[in-house]
Amino acid sequence: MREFTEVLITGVTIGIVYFLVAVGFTLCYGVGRVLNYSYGSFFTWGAYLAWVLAVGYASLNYFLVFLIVLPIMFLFGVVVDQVLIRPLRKRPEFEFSVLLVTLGLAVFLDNLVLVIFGARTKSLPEFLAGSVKIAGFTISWQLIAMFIFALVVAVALFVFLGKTRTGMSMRAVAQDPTGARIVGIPLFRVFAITFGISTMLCGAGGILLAPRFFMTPLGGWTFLVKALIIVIAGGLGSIKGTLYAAFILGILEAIVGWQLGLLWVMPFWFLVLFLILLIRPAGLFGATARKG
Amino acid sequence: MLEVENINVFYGEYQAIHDISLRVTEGQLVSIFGPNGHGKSTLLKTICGLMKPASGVIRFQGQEIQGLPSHKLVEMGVVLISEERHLFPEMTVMENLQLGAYAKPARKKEAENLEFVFSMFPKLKTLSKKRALNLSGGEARMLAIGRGLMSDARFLAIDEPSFGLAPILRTQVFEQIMTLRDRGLSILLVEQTTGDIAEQSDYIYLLEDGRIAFSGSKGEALNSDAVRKVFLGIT
Amino acid sequence: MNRARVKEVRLPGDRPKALRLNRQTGITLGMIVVLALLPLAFGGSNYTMRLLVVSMIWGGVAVAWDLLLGYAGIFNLGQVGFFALGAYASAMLSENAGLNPWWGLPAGAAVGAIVAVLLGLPSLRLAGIYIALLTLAFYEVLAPLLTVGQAIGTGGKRGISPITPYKVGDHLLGGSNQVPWYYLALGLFVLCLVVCYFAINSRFGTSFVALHDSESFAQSLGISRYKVSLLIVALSGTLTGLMGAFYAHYTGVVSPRILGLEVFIYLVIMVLLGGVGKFPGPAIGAFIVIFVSDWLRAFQNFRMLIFGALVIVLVMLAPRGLMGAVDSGQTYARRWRAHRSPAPEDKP
Repeated sequence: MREFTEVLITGVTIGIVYFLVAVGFTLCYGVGRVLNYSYGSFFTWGAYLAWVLAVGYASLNYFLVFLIVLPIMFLFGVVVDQVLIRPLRKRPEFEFSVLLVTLGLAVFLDNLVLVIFGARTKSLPEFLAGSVKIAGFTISWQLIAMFIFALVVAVALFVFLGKTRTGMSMRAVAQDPTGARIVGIPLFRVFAITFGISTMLCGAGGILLAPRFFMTPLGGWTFLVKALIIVIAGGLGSIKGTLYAAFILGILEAIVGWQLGLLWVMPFWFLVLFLILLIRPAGLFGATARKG
Repeated sequence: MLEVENINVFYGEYQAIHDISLRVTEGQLVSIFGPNGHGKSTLLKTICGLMKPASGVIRFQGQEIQGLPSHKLVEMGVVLISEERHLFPEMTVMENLQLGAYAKPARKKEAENLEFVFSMFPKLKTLSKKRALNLSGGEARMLAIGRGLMSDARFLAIDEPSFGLAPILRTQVFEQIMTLRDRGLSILLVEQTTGDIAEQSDYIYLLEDGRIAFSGSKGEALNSDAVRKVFLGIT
Repeated sequence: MNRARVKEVRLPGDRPKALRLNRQTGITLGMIVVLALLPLAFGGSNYTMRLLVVSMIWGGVAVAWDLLLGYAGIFNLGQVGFFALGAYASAMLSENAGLNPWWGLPAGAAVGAIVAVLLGLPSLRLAGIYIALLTLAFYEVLAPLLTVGQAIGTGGKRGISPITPYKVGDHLLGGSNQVPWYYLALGLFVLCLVVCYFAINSRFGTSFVALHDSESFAQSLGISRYKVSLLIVALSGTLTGLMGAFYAHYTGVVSPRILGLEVFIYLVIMVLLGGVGKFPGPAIGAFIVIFVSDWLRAFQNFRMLIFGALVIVLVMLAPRGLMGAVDSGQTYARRWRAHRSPAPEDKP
C-alpha cells in the first residue's frame, strides 16, 4: 500500500509535467493551428541546453539554468514562427505544409544534436539529491522540486490565459480568429507569442524530465508521442481536457511501469488512447471533430 | 471621412466587387441596400481590412488604408460589426466586451465605454457572466454591437444589425444607431429591409451584382426606378 | 483565330480518355521502358542494381502515398506503418510459420489493406487534422508495439533475420545476381504505377477529385466521401503492404528500424520532390532520393541534417516539386507562344 501511494505521488508529479508539455502542444494548435512535429526536438534541445549549462561547459545551479534556457526557448520559438511558419499562412494547404516543415525541422534539429553532442546518452543530475520522509512515505527531493516547479508554471499559465490581456487575446484567436481581427488583435503577433510560449513550455518539460529519463538525441520523440496522445485523448484545443488526460495518463504510466515494467509503458499509452477514442472520438473534451 | 475609389475585390477567380466608389462624410449615416449575396458584406469586410481589394484605393481621413491589417484599422477607429457577429463563444459577455477594448486607444476609455454600452443595452449588464454561446439571437447581436462600440470607433461599418431580430428589437437597434450618429460617429450601414433606416440616412447606395446601381439622398431614392424595382418588384 | 480558353469541367463519373497519350502516360511509359532496358547496361554492377531495386520499391510506395496525400487530400502520416506491417507479415509467415515466401506477397498486400482500412474507419469521419494526428500516433506507436511483440514472434528490437529469399523453380534468388530481383521489383513497381494511374484517371478517380473539390456537389450525385475514401485508403495500403513484403525478402531483414524517422523523411522528400498530386512525380522522386542519399553516404549524420533542411526548403520554396516545375514551365511556354502569335485578343 505504501509503495502504491509512492507510485501514485510519482504519477501525479509526472502528470503535471506531462501537462505542461502537452498544453504547449495544445496551445500551438488551438491558437496557431500548427501541428508542431518538431515539438520533440524542442524538448531534446531544452534538455541539452540545460545540460550544457549545468554539466557540460558550466556548472550553474538549476535556478539559473531555468532562467537562461526558458527565454532562449521562447525566442527560438518566435524566430521559428516568423521565419518558417508565417510565410506559409497565406497558403490554402497551410496545415499540411506546416506539418512537413516542422518535420524537416525536427530531423534537422535532432541531427544537429547528434553532430554537436554525439550519440552517447547524457544524463542530467537531479536538482536536489536525497529524499525526505513525510508521513511514513519516502519522497525524493527531486520529485518535490519537480512538482513545485511544474505547479507554479501551471498556475502561472492559467492566470496568464485567464486574466491577462495577452492571454485573453490568445484564447480569442483560438475561439474565433475573425472575431479577433475585428476587435483589433494583431494575429501574427499572437501567433508568434503562442509559439514562443509553446516552445518554452516544451523546453521546461525537457529540463524537468531529463533527470528521470536518459538523454539521447532522439529522446524527445517519446514525449512528442505522449503529448500527442494526451492531446488527442483530452480533446484537441481543450486545456481542461489536456489537464485531465495528462493526469490520468501520468498516474497510469507510473502504475504500469511499476507493475509490468518500462517496456509496456508505450503500448499501454496506445491502448488508453484507443479506448478513449472508441468511446469519444473527439477526445474527452474535444469539440465536434466531425467534418462538416 | 471615408473614401472608396474604384475598388475591385475577388474571391479567387470570382469577382465580387466591380469598380465601386463611395463616400461617407464625417457624422453621416450612409446606408447600403441590395439583395443578398451581391457583395454588401464583402464591401464592408474590405473597407475594414478583413479582405484586400485587387485594385483601387480606400482612404480614411485622407490616409490610404486598403491592404492594411485589420488591427491597424481598429486602432485608427475603423470598426466592423459583422453580420456573423464572430463573438468568442467560450467567453462571457463581460470578457467579450473587454476584448472589444483591446486596441490601445480603446483601452484608455474602456471604463467609460463600458458604461455607455450598458446604458444602451441594460440587458447586457445582467447577462455579463453568461457565456456567449448561451445567448439568444437578439442578445448575441446586442453583444456584437456593444463589443464593436468598446473599440472606441470613429467610423462604424455595421452589417445587417437587425437580421433575425423581432420587430421591437429591430426598432430599438435602429434607434440606437441613430443615437450613435448623433454622438458624432460616422456610420456605414448595410441593411436588407428599408423603411426606418432609409428615412434617417443621409445618403443611400444600392448595390447589385457587386456594382452601385444607385446612389443619392433619400429623396432621390424614393423617386428612383432602380430602387423601386429592387424593393417592390422582382429582384 | 478565337483564342478563348474554356477550362474543362470534370464531372464526377466522367470517363476521361484514360489511355490517351499525355504527359502523365508519356513519362510513365518512358520510365518503364528505360527501367526495363537498364539491366542491359548496368546488369553487371550489383551495387547499381541494388539502388535501382530499392528505388523501385520506394517508388511504388511513394505513388501509393501520393494517392492519399495529393489526390484524396488525406493527411496519412502512417504510410510507413503499412509498409512495415506488410514486411513483418511476410517475414513472419516465411520464418515463423515456414510457408513458401511467395505467399508473403499477397499476405503483405492483405495486411496492408486491412490495417489501412482499420485506421481509416475511425479517422476518415473526422476532419483533416484529426486524420493527421491519429495516423501520426499510429506510426509512432508501431515501433514500440513491434518491439514488445517479441512474444508473438516479431523478433523484438532486433527484428527478424535472415529472411528466406524467393525461389523460382529450383533457383534461389541470391545476392550475387541482382537481375532476377530487378525484374521482379520492376513488375511490382509497374503494378503500382498502373493501379495508381487508373485510380486517378478512371471514373472512380474523377469522383474522388470531384469530392475533394466540391463535397456537396459530389454528394448530391450520391457519392459517399467516406466510402470512396476508405476504398482509396485500402488501395494505397494494399500496394504499400505488397512492396513491404517484397522488401523483407529482398533485404533479408526486418526490424523496427524500418519505422525510423530516416525512412519517413526519405518518403516525404520523394513525394515533395516529385510533386504532391503530380503523378508519377513521386516515383521519379524516389529514384532521385535513393541515389542522392547514396552519393552522400560518406557524410553520415550531416546527410540527415541536409535532408531535414531539404524538406524545409522544398516546402517553402518549391511546394509543387519537379513535376510542378514542369507544369509551370509548360504554362509559361504556352503564354509565351500566345504572346508572340499575332492572333487578336478576345477581351470579355
